[in-house]
Amino acid sequence: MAFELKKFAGISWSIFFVTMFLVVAGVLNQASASMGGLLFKKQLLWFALGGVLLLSFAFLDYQKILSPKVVFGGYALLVLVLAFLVVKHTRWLRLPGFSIQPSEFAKLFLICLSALILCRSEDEGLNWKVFLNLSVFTLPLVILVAATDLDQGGMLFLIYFSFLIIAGLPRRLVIAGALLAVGGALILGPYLWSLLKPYQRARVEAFLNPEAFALDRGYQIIQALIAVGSGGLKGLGFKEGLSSRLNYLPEKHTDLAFAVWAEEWGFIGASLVILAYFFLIYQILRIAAQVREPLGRYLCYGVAAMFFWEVFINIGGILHLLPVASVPLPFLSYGGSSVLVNMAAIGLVLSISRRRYSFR
Amino acid sequence: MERRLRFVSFVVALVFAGLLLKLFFLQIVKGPYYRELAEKRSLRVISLPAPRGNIYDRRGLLLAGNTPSFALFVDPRLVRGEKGDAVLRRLAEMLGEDFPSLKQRYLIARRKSVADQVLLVEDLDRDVVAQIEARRYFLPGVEIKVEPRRFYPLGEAAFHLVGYVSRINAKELKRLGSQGFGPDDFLGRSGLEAQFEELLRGKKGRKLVEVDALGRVRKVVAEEPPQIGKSILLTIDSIFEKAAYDLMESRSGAIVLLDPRDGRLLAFMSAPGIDPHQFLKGFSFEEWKKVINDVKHPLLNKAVLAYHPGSTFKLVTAMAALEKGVISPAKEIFCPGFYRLGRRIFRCWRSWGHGKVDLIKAIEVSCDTYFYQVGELVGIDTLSKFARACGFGRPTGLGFPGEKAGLVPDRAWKLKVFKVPWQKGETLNVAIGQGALTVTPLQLAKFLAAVVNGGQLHTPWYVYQVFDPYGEILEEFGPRPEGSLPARRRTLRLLRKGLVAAVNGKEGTGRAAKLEKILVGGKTGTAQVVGMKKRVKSEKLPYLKRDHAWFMAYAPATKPEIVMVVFVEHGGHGGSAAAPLAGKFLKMYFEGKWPSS
Repeated sequence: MAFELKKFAGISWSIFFVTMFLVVAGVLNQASASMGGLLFKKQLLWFALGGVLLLSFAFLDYQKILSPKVVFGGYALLVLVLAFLVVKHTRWLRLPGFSIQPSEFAKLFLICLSALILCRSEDEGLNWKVFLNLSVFTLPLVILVAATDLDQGGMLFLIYFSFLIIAGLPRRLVIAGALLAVGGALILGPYLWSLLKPYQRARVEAFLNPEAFALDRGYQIIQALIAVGSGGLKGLGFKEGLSSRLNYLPEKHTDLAFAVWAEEWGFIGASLVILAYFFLIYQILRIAAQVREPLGRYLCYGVAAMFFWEVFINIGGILHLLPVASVPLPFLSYGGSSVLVNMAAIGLVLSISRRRYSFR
Repeated sequence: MERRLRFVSFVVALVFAGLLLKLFFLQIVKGPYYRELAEKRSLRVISLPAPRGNIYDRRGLLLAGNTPSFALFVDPRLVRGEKGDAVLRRLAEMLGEDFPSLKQRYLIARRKSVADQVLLVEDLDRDVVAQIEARRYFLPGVEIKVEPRRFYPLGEAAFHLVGYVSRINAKELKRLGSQGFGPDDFLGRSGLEAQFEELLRGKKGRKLVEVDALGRVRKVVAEEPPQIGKSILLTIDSIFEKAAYDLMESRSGAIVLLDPRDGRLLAFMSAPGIDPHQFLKGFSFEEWKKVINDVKHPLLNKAVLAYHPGSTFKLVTAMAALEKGVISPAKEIFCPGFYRLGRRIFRCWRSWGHGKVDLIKAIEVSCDTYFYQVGELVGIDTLSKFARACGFGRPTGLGFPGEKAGLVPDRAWKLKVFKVPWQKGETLNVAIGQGALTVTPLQLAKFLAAVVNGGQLHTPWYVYQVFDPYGEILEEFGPRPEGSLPARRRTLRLLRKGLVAAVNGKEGTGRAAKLEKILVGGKTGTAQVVGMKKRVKSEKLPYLKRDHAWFMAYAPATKPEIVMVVFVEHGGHGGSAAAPLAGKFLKMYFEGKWPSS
């Protein structure tokens, strides 16, 4: 295969490098969180696989891959798998040798599907037909995922909601919806509260008053705050975090990975990572604005929305701005499915970026 | 769409600004606060107990030492709620205690505890330790610590000399907390343990460790090893100490043994004692009540408490009379069994009288009539002056905790305390060792030592050497001369002659202390506790009203090397209750045969 320089034309190097920075941060953070143990080695493997995925997506033509046949076929398969998981009452699809989390893949499929639907009716704005099309295909995914994993289901819903906004959900509807939600929450609140599972209620209670539940429900957020806060300006140093090293931080590989990072690298390192996420999302949105081709544009937008919600909900939870939710932080949290999906999504964005200046 | 994208970008920027702001607040503004929380949570200072120094007798035998002991601690932060109950239940099974009582003990100990960890059981059996250690995994929050624990080979025999230690209490901790004392520390409470607390106590070590979320120590950050306390070598002989204690059997009293040549103490014993280990274990309420209500007062050290000296004091009266020249030793006085002063009758202990007695005879038979008259001639001013010059009325200078000064009464004292002038009759009582006069057994031994060594008063002493854990001698002590008795050699010679006669004479009151091969000198004393109209046999009185029995002895009279004072509280007559004990002891001493060595 001839190596063509032309293929690099227009590719967004800034996205590539900021991703690499986050991957390096993620590797370092796993090295510290697992003290170079098994999880660290597995994560390295996932990053290697993810790298291959990223490059292949970057150099393939996304328009050819994401043909309606492929997307809808994959969608059907995913729905089957998710339905199977709901019946089995598990989040994990166990395959020989490893297990995957289909809910992560559902995010990418939801983005592709929504982009495909919206790009066909780009000029129409959000009319009833588009709204129904979008909802009929995406909401089943949201519901199926939410049945086993409410947090990931919420993520999917937020991505769906982001697409509604970009498709042109009228402002008055947004305001009306918000008012309705608040009103509904006030009236139906107690009923909804009783519907929540105990651990979900505990999360809200712990968010509102962590000290009162310092030993059980509030433990996680208190330890996270201590970890983040004790980092100070310069941090305690790589592999020197008191909270992570001495196992005070629960879920330090996954949900609270950012707390480990913030403790060990301090405000300098933590703000750098936050700025990197912002830069990444901002760059992806810029490509969405630059690309003249509707599918690529919606795809970029969807990927940006996915990263935004994941970063906001995860870090917001650790910084005690939101209740803690169990969603992985892209690149920093441990998890094969998450790494693969994020790397593939970046690959997709890079592939789109190559075409941002062409008008086909 | 561009417009909406711009709007979205704006929202994203806003949210990230919010995240950064909160991050800044947590890490920079509240950073020090959280850093402190993190360190408080994960760094712990463990204090390493310092073993106390040892106390040895003059032969190098241990009087107080340390032995490792296992104590069980429970961390109340980890043992609580239902899980804690499960842990306590397992513990109860292994300790052979029922669960409710263990739990109650735990709750009480937790409330009283001033430390992070609650001390639940002290002095665990090795078997139980092994059982618990093997099940550590199922007993989170339970820790067994090895602690040096005080151990006293002589037990109750040396209780009053050595003293005891016990754990610091909350009040003392508040007072001493700033001096580095911790809640698990021991304090010397009486005797040598208290007097030399500063010397014996080592310096505690400290260990800064990182503790993980499960309470396990993961890393030692810094360590400062403990310093063992200094040891002392005494002049006391533990064989004498033990023999003296055993001699007392169930009696209450004191025996002081010293070397008259330099004033070193050889035995310093008060009976009955308490097993000092009991203070480490703790008393039950009943046990403690028994100790407190015991008429023999096992908590009081009778060797340093003041009692009426009885006839032993006649030596001082005789000395004053000879020195002042108010009598000549050969002058005989007739004893009809009483002496009349004005309208008062002062009885001699022998109601039918001693007949004609001179000084030596008067000491031999302990004639009260003789000394009433001599005392009257000497007068209270001279008598009290001589008593003070002989070391009475003030602490001996040994430095022993709780040592009493005794009382030498005189006109000024009477006027000050009772606001009435001195009565002539009181002089007569003081002259035979009664009245307001009190002395301690230790003072008496110090005085007798001076009489038999030619007049040199020595401050009694018992610490010979202080050395560090490596055997390096830090301090060495020797005799402490204190001045001379206000008596000429001739006077002292006469007194000694009387003392020899009292033990060896045909009518000597101290004949029970006579030895076959060794010439012993001594003087009995019978101190009345309550005044009786008629002379009643002491044995017929209730215990608390019986006389105190005294005997002071020295031997060999030709070349004195040992002075002994025997005091038997409520023992009856000095000649029959105290002198035989001295006789038995001196026999063992000179034959070198001890019941157990």
